[in-house]
Amino acid sequence: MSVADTPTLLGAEMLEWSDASAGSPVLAELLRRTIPQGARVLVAGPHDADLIDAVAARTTALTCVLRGLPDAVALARRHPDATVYGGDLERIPATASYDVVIALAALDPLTPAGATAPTWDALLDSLIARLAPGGTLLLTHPNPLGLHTIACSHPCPPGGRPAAVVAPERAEGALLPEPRAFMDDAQWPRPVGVRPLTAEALRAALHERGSATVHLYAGYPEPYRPGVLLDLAAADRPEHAALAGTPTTRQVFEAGLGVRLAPAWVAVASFGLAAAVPTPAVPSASPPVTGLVGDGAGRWCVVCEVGSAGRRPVVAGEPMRDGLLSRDPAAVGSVTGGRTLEEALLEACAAADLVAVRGLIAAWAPDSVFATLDNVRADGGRLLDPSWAWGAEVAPEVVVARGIRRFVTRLLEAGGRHPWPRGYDAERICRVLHAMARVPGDAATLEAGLRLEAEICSSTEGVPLEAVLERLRRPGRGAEAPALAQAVDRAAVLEEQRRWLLARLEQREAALAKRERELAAVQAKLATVRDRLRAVRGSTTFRAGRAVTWPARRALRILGR
Amino acid sequence: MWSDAVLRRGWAAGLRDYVVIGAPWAYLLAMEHDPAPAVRTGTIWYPFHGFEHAALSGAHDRLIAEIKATEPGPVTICLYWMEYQEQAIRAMYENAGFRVICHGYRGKNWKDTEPEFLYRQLAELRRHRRVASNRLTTAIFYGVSAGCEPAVYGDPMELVGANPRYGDPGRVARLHPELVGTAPDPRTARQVVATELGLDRLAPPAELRALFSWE
Repeated sequence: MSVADTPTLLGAEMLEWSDASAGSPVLAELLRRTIPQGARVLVAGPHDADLIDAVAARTTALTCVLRGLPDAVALARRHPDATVYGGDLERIPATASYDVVIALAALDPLTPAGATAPTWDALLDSLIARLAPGGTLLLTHPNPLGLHTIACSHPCPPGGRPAAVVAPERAEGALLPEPRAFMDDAQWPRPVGVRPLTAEALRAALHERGSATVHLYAGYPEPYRPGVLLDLAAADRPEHAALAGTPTTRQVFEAGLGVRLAPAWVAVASFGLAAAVPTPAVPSASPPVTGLVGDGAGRWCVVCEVGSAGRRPVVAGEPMRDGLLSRDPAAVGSVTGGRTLEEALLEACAAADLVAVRGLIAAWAPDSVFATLDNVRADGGRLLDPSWAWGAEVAPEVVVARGIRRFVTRLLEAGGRHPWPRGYDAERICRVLHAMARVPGDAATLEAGLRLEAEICSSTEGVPLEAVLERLRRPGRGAEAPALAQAVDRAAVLEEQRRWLLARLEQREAALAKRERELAAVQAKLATVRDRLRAVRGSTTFRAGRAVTWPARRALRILGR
Repeated sequence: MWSDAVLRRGWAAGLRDYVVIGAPWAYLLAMEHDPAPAVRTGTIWYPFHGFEHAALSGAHDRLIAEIKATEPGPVTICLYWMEYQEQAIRAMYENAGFRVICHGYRGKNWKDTEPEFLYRQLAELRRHRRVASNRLTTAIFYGVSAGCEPAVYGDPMELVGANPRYGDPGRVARLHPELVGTAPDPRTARQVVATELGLDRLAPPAELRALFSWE
């Protein structure tokens, strides 16, 4: 089909299906470094619009294949010049070959429900078969034993992902039905295949298929949306623990397991003899840096190179601004991290060390809106990232309220252990922390802090303010599927409530049993008294007495009438 | 919860959701400054007592003889209200030449509880140089924290029909053997007592208000 903005249907396309896409500013940067100008590119599987835009900026020979029809339609509309296929990858005309094949959403979402399901290795063969000599494959391989499956710091089921509802803007009278129920394909039965369990097995699989050079990167913290990509040769250096972000990840790096437990490995594999082919050399063949780190969400993200000299923005662009919020990429600085006050606090919370929590939070003296606990070093309180700014005066106690709210939200959303009763909601923990910080935390201050955090999050995450407010008021308790840690936490709360209710029930039943015993005793006493009364009434003496007094009683009754 | 150890014991018993804030006594100590430290004399002796649900078996006369043989100065005997009301028991201690006192009623379900109990105990403890008992009890902890030298000796007596789950007799003495004897090291005692009473775990007023929703 040659009609622009309409996908070419290959067959087996899924009419009511939309996949969650892969992508992050760091992946986009990797693509910019890997795709030669003007190369023929095949993007296989669901990828973020930003990522496709980055590819389209480097080439006009862009081909995409998506199994979900709504996704294919949306992509075809966004890139009318690209060739967009909807359906089964296997059915792409065999004559077509590409200089670069991109599968950063892994191989699973390439198989439509209606097509024959190939094994993982067969799918890999199929992708490599599309490469022109000297071509490059970019592949994300989620680690089946990745930290995300063990620690569950981010909700992301292994083997597949919940599909997001991505309703494409559709023209009047479109034939497509509205996408209805979207579900997780993690539980699809899949044919057994050889799925690499280690980075080295992945490298070996690519070499076996003819790859001359394989560069591997460890992706953190999420398999399909990495914020950090570290060259495998350098990933296990302890200093990279600083990039990791969460205490668990830090421990993983400090234990030298950064590669082994990476949520995903991203491979850049060159095939054939690049020297014999007159296509431009792939820059990634010699990575100049140990890694790429994306800091901040969406359009606020500043991608930095990480090397021995610290970090440095890849592109020092113009300052960004949205309302009162602004960010100057040039001010990001070369500090690659370090232990944050938040990490120290999380540790103290997990150990229920209230004295340490008090000490840490009392020592925290934020002098700006962005001196939040996660942006301040534990040693000395220096800012990690001074590039953010808020264009209005904020009262010091509201700055503290925002910082505390942010900490509590992150603590509860990660399902982290803390020393306060589980019945305490975010608001109450905030109040306790305010008391510990010795900063008055009345209702108005807490609300002002909450609103400030919500406004900033709404802008940085591109989410409506009301939705952010809802999330902040009940962190980790939203309608979305809970992460393992949250599920465990909720189960514990329910267990606690069950225990309490059972104890109460037992108490009430004991009280009831006691009352019943008392009642039975009283009734027995009553029965005895009645028996005695009956015996008295039946006696000859009583009857004789009644007979004697009868006339007098009769007379009294008549007179009384 | 008074201390981290109690919190952990609670966990081991299947209880959850507590916050360690130190013993109420620790707050009393912090609030009630010693106005004019008097010259401390003698010993305040707390005989282990029975309570409303368990009587005590043991010989008071043997205990009295041991106290007399051990204590160098005047002795104040502080009896539990039940024993204080028993003329016979009270008379035994009085006849031995001891001053006999009682800090007040224990009460039940917050009824008839003596609100000044701990205040009275603190005032008495601050008057004495030594605090002693035949069991390692909170009275010893309170005494040490109020500046007394501790002593634990004499027939520990036994509760009639005590529940073995609480480890009676002997569990507490095995836990802190360093506090048992006629003159244990006061410095060691102060360290143990600080931990047991959670003296360094006190929550500041604002935090307590937030924890208990007193605002």
